[in-house]
Amino acid sequence: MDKMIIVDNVVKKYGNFTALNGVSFQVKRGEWLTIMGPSGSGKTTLLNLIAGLDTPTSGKIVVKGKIISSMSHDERAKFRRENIGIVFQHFHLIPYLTALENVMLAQYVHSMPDREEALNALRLVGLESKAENYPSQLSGGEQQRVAIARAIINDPAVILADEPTGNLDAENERIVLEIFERLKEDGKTIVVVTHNPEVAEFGDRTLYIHHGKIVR
Amino acid sequence: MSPISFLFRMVFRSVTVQRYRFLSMVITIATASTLLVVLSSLYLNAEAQLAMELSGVPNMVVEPKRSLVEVTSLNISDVLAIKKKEHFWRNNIVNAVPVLLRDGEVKGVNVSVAGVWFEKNLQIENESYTFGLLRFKGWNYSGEFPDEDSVVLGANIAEQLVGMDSIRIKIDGKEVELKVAGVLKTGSYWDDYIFISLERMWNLTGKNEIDMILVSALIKPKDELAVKAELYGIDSLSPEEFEAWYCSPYASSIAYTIKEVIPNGDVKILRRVTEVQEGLIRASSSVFASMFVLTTGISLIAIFTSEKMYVETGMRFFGIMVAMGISRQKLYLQVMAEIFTASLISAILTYIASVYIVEFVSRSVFGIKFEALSELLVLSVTVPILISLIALALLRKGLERDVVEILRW
Amino acid sequence: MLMKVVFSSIRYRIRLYTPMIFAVSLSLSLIGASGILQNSFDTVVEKEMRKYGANVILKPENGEVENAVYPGDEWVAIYVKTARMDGSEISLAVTDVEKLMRMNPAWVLKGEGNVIVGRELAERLGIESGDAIEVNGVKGRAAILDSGTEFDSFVILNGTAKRATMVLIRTDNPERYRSGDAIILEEMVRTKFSFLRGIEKLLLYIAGVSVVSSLITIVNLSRADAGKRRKEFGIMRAVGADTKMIGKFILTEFGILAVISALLGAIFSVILSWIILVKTADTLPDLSSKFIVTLISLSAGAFYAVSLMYLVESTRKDVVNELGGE
Repeated sequence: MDKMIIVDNVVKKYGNFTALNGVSFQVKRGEWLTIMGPSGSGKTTLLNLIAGLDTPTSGKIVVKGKIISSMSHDERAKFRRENIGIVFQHFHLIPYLTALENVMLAQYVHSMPDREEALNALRLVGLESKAENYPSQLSGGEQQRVAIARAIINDPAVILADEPTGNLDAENERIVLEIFERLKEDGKTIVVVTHNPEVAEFGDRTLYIHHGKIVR
Repeated sequence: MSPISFLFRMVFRSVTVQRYRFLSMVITIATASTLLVVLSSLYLNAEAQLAMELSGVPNMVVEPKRSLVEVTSLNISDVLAIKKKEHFWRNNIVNAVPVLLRDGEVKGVNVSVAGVWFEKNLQIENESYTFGLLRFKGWNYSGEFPDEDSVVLGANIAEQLVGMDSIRIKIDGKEVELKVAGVLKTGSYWDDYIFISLERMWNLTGKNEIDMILVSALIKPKDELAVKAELYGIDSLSPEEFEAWYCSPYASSIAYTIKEVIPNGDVKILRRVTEVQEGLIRASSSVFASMFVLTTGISLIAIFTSEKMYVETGMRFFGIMVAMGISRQKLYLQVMAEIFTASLISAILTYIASVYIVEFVSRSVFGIKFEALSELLVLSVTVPILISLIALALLRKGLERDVVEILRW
Repeated sequence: MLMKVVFSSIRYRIRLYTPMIFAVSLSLSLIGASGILQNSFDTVVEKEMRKYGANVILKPENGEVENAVYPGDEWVAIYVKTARMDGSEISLAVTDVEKLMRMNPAWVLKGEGNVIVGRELAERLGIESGDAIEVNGVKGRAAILDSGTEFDSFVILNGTAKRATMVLIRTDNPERYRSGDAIILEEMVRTKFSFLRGIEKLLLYIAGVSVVSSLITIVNLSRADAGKRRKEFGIMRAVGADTKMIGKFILTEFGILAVISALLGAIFSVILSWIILVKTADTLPDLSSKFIVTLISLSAGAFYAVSLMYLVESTRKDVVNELGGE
């Protein structure tokens, strides 16, 4: 399967407002695609549709050969936990669980928590020593790295990141992007939404979206 | 680590780290449940407690059966029979006072004299009871505690013998001086009587029988069945109706069962007393029922809103799990586990609070100890848990809301 | 402009305010109904007490009734004499039977005969309802009276008492007869008062606990909302509103909620107490303006107590920082 993600003429409307207006593109397996655009352009909406967090008004979205746009809520949830890892701009860690437990949460959601595997994931992002810390005890960059460990623990084929470095300083931004590079080398398909051109340089290809349409 | 262990860990962390949020829900559920449990307990026992409140005057009189052919008599064993196991409604008998009547003379004036138990402790089949004239709480007694050497004056007689510390009373030719212990105001014919101890009366008359037994029984208001039995006789009842009538503490069925254990006796129901008692019980039971419905509404709103708030303030976390692809079952399990934990803690708090409140209200309002503690325990456990689960079922929709919207919060 | 903003705010938060209003108004209806019932329960109890029947027994001088009975009191004159029935000597009472039975609603009459025989006498003589009997030459059929009084040993015939041996009176003011030669029957009066007190206390406790429950509801609801409105207060401050203006806005909003809750509470109270009283005692509720004032005060108290949370949030120094936000 060469095409990991296919977005085919997708339209998304919220009442009278059209967030996406006939968007089509494809992402190859192992490719790093960056989606750029100004605020309100529809890039986050597009990412949410690919993740199966939402469904398009019309059009089709295929991920790993499955038409997720026509799946039920439960089917999308199942597909998401088995195939997609999501990294958010605001980290979205559970504040009352430690870094290790936040990673184990993703395992629990998928199947069975495994402490050793979770520690490995933290090791991969360089945070093994902070395993027992709560999110409030971690810096922004460290929290984002925990979020990345959580996103990759179940070995998903696709990683979606919405402004992953939006809340980070330059140093932490670099660390996070290097982790994404390593993931790409491991064969993961990565889609990153950003408005930062420096982040886009790390990717293989960039799509520009404006007023819900791909412009280039 | 098993999924169950991880679930317990998450729940434990959620409730201990976000203590304030969790405690807020616990307190709301406990308070609302306490309200419901207290009311339910009082309501379930209301008729009995109201009947107790109204049982301060005699509402039945047992007299010897009279026919053209013979006149039977009663004695003390008949009083005891009312409280023995053979009597089906023995637990509804609050007071039973034997009375022996005689005409007497004080200062040359004819008076009516009644020999009674003033207050007697009895042991009947290994249980203790206290019966006596002074145990009719609806009658107003003022004075010292009377003994065998005392008299108690009915209110009307007392007005005629005012200022006397002792009286010389003549009964059946025998005269005795007794000190005046106090005055009893009954608001009935008994205000015209002088009361002496039954033992003294037996001593003076040389007899050990009694003329009547004044009984105060806890009754249930009449319904169609009871009215049918009264107007048309118990022979007009079908076997099922008879059983239902017999097993309900109507004034008429209690009178019937007393006659079963006192074959020599005829039971007169003091209808104007029972009618008022029944009417008041009926009216108040309706009040309770309405209050019960309303407070159920208040409690449900309180619990529902607190759980709604709990779920909404935790939505972001639930949204994160949904974004990770958590299944619906696991999500509900998480929420249910937290709410169930809150319900369990609330159940303990509810029981403790309810015991004190119900006891306080029972003593303060009805003047009696609240007895149905096991009932209270069952209610305390089931009410918070049941209501929480119902509220959770209603909250399901909120949990399934668009996760994108949730993550924006 | 203030009212326009306040009403828009209420409309926007209608999903939050609806359960709050319901919680408070239900609680108020409980308190209001308790108050109305307390006022009206006296009437209810008096009505029930009437079932006691005659509460004064008078033996009038020279058998004359007119001067013995106070105007407005219900009375029936009875002439008692001895008579013979089926060979036995009995006590015979002649009176207006319909009036007698109406005055004593607790008495039970079995059968439709024109000769009323008291239960005890009937049992003694072996008479049953419907039996043909003859009293002093008057033939008729027996109806059995079960009154629980001395009349259970009498035979009662319908007629006008030429001279009254006794007068049974039903009065709301038995004390008036105390100086005369009257027997006053008031054995349920003490019970009545303690019962009334008991019911009042119970209603008060129930209302009290439900008020606590409702307060907790609205505090819970408001706590989460107060934090969410920080941004709103920040915007107001950013455009130049001071504490006084924001306070006015908050207090007006909660004042309107308080009035709505109080009115709803008053309506529910009246409906609830009307249902109870009409169903149980055939009496209408006894309303007073004091009750509406009480409900409004309580409602205002509850909502203004909660508004304090919002006032505190609005005065926080960092509230404008919320505008930097998401």
